[in-house]
Amino acid sequence: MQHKKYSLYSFLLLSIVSGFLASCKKFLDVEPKTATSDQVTIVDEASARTAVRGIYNQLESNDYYGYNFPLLGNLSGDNVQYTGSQAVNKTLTTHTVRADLGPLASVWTSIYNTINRANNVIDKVPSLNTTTTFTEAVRNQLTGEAYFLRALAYFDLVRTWGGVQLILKPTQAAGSITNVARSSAQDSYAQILKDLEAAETLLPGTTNRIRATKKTVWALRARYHLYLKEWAAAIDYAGRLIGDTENYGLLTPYSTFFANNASNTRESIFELYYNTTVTNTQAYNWQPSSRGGIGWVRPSDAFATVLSNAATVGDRTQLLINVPANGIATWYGNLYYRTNGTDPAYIIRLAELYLIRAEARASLPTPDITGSREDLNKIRNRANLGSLSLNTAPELLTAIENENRYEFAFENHRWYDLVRTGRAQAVLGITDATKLLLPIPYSQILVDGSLTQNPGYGN
Amino acid sequence: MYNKYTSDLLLQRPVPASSGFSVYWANVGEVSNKGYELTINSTNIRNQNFNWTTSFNISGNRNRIEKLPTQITQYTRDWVILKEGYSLNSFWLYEQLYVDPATGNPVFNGQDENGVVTAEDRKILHNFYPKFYGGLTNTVRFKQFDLGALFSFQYGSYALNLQRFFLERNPGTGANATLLKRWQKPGDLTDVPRLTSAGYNYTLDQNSRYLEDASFLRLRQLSLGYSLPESLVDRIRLNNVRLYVVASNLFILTKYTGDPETSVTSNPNAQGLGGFGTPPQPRSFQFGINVTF
Repeated sequence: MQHKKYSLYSFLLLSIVSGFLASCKKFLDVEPKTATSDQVTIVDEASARTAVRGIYNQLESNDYYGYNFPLLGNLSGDNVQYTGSQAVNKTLTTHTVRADLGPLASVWTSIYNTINRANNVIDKVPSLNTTTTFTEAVRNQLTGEAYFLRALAYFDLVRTWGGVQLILKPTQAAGSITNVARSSAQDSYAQILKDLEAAETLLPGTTNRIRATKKTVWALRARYHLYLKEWAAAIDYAGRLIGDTENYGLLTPYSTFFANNASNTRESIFELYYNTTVTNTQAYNWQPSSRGGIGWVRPSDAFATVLSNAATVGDRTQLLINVPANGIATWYGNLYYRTNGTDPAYIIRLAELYLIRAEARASLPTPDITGSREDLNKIRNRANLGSLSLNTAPELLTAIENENRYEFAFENHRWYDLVRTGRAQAVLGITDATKLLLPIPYSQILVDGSLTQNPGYGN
Repeated sequence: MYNKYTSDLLLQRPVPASSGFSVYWANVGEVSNKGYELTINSTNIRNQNFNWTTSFNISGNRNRIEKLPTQITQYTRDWVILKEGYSLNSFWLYEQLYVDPATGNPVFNGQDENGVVTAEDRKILHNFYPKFYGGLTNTVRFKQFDLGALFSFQYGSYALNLQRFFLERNPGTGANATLLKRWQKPGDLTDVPRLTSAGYNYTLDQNSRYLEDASFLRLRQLSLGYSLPESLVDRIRLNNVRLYVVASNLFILTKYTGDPETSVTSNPNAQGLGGFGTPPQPRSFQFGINVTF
């Protein structure tokens, strides 16, 4: 029976282990891994560069931008539905999610892993000695990238879960983990701004679409100030990218930025690069089986009706494909289609900056109606839609909300847009306002006594 | 009888993920095992033509995690849990109390007035280990005939029936026969909720409904043999010739819907997850002849 089998295995194991004991005592004297010295990790230019690449590597992992982080937001909004075997993911869409939902914990862990990697760079790289190749400019650039990535990671945490524990020092050893209480959302956002400012000072003003530069910081700052309703700042930072017409521009037709295996287009401000060894699972999850996927993540039925109507969305119908599944014509999202896992993760595109500025201009105490309308129509015209001639701020804001929905249909904007504008309850029919923040992963509540759950999800 | 206390278990101990790490290997945890093993061999009848022997063994074990700083969950969906004060391989589930006869929705222990459950309502229910288990062997020899029967049994073990889990809530991938007794109209009394693609029957994976009593009594083997008389064997210059038939798994008595001895994983800390798509142990018959030269 079962127990007898184990005792046999343990006997075998014991014989092997005792063999080891006899033959190589030294093997057992090696320091345990938890105590590996931290003095040898980031010591020179090569290790500093590797450490920074390591942050990007975690940023694009499957539990962060590779798949699961966008999944949480996509399913919480009304653009995307889940039709796969992990039916519990549907609780995101019905806003009945429980704290023990698997992806919550994996995303949370992955984001904090990114933060810890950035903390290591921020802690160690500035004090490294410069060399002829490892100049102060290079050192600043690497440190600046870490500040930017930490800002992005905390931004994603805060907009998903509210105020979080702000960990700003690298973890040295398992025993050195201390209790940290959650900060308020306000304090968390303040920390993010500090990091963005530090990054802005340190980074060069070059153009790079897959590594952070000063321009990437400006773009994220535009989004940041929009979230905080700091309209003038949002307009300023968005304008810096829009004004850089030498390096950035909207492409026509709409699908240019993603179709035909495009990456790094002039429209892209920040995206993550994947190759056949570092892959993501977006296409696999979005595409139907006839095209090499499993089709578990799909446009919601109502949204597919909207997005397939060229009169409403223009060329953005290109985001959809219609493929028969079990003999029934079915809509699938086609933004991610490279089934070898090399679709970029699109984080910020120039189109977003236009819509940020349009919204900020319409939201000013004295709305800039003309400016807002111009920005909005720029996006509409690019999508092959006629200009709107709206004359009031409320009309414009509604139009911008819809435009965001179509323009970034499958780029995980919808949920966060509705939450930050206070529209989520009305649009998505959420009666309980506590559901606008996701629950802290239950496993983390249990393992970390200083971490408190969000209201509405148990104690 | 034994009483064994094990300390410094090597486990992946979870740490707050805000550290950038989720687990580390550490010597944490202490487990106690108390139990007994008993074997009785008896020769009931022994004479020239008739020989009957019986062998009976029974074991019982109770283990308890005496010390563990944080709970550790196992396998996808965290179905199995290690937690201080409980046995290894305990199940961590939402307890379905009944199916509301009016609505067909499952009702869970701890749910609020709106029928909402939270992760706090998850409970430890039963564990994989039997209270006792063992076997009974009878061997009878009468003249040239021999008859052997091996029964095995376990009592008090529980297993989560993953076959039911996958096929009773989501018929997209197939349907379990238990769906036939699902709630269908107001007034139906059953423990299988109505079939929906939403709501807790569909979107709650850790439902105690799939936890089944895996106690069983099984006739593992029955054999009948006939040895040719020595006089005949000598004449054809052989030492021994025996003809036999062996039947395996002729019957099993169990409440478990499926084979209670299947498992989806060999992870020793995630036992009790009854096989999904695993065929039950086959009923087989063998005929044979043993010839000794």
